Amino acid sequence: MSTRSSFTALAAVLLLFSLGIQSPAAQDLHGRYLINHDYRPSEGLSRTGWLSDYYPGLLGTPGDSKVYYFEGDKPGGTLFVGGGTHANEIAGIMAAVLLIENLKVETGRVIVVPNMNNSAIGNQEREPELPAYTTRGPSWISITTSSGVRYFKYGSRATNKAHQGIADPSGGYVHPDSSEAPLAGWEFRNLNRAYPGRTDSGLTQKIAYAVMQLLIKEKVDVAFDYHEADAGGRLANMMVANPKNIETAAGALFDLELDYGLSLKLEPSNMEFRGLSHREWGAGTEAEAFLTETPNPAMVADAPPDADVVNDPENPLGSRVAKHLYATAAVVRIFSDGHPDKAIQFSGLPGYQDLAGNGLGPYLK
Amino acid sequence: MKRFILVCAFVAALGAYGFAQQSTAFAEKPALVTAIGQSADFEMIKVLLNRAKVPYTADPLVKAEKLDGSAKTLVLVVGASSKGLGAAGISAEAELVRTQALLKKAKELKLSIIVMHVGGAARRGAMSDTFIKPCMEAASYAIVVASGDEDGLFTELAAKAKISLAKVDRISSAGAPLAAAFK
Repeated sequence: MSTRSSFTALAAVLLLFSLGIQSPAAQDLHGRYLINHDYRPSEGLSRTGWLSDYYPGLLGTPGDSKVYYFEGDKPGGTLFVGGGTHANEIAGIMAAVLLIENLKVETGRVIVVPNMNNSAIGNQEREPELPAYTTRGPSWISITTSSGVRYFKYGSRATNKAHQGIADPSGGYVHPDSSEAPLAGWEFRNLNRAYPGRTDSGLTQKIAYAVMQLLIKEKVDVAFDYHEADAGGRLANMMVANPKNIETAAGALFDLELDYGLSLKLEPSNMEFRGLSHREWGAGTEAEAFLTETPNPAMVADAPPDADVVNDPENPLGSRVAKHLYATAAVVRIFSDGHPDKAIQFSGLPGYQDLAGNGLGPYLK
Repeated sequence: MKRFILVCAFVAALGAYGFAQQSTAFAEKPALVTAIGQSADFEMIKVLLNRAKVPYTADPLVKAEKLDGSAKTLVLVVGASSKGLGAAGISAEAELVRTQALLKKAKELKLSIIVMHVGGAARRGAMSDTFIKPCMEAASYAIVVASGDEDGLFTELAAKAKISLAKVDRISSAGAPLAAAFK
């Protein structure tokens, strides 16, 4: 065997070994899926928990997901951040990961769930019934950091069919509290159509229930759900706010323009359209509820199969992550000004322009 | 320091708009702000008025009969949102009827009318234009984000109505001419 072919074989073995280690099937003694959580928290981390702590019915299922808690020395309010509700919307996941790996909380608490739908993150089924944009993208993205190349899972919009436990409704999906026309059947597996969730339904509904219980039990004051949309579409570069907290959002959007030249559109939740996080979190908990949408190049209707979701020249991942994080920071600042007894103060984020320009590599461990 | 520079720029812009776009402050306080077309831009204008310390009441669906002269200036945040109209439970046709009645009553009460279109190109189109035209015909002054006037509609309507038109590059820049319009 030549030196070159030996090297190739060794590389292949290492690759297989690496993939084996990173198999989504890796579980702990409780059956909790670990490898989707290869995130390396900052020293500001106080503890970790699981969604199943809030609904034990998730324990041992692919829907269980890790929760990261960062607590400040001074009492204050609580911020919740969720990424990966739609696991193909990678900027949402990576914004949550960047928080986990850099955050230091001075006042109040920050709770982060980077993989809100842990089943969807490992779902690489190219289901014909799902629109192409919901599953298009790489299986993994790679980012070069100071510790070497790291890989992060890129998933699907929907819970894995095999995990849901109940077949998609053949007549279409109707939210139990909705009087609207049925959505496509696969929307039964869309976490952002499932809130406030149920314990007597599919895995997606159980995840939604656990998230709602977390928001209630932890008395969350400000809650963010990070999403992406087709670049150039109506939703891209938008903040959606529950009507009860739309003034907070409007104030934050002005500050984003003034401070960073970042313009995001504003839209209130449609209270008739049930099941979405910003609508149900705002109505069913004390939290001010927000959702941010950044432009994902792979979600454009006619995007090529190999659309570069990391280094797209118009909307690189660093820029999209910066939008999520700085939109959150702006909302938190407005909220804290208006509620000094529930102030939330944190540090550790890279500068907006630094993150947008340099990408995530320098800021991940 | 950055905020200080931005505030200085804001004040400078405010002065510049005061002379270049609307030579004198003409609008009396307090204001009544409403949404014509039920877009969320209404919320953004409330923030601008708060930050400019202009006293106002806000009612996205205010009807003509509620105008009693206590508000001296009507701020119309124009731009249609089918989602917003749906959420408010009002059809585009009914919104136009409400708008026309408001404009008629405002004229009777000799209120100043400031039209604000801050949603840019995304807040244009047939439905929005239906609201824009009558509002501009009745307006005393208009402030628009420039990308909403790429086809020159606002420029043309402002010229016809013989009113000043302030064009700004982004929504956060609309605060300066708005504040400068109030006495």
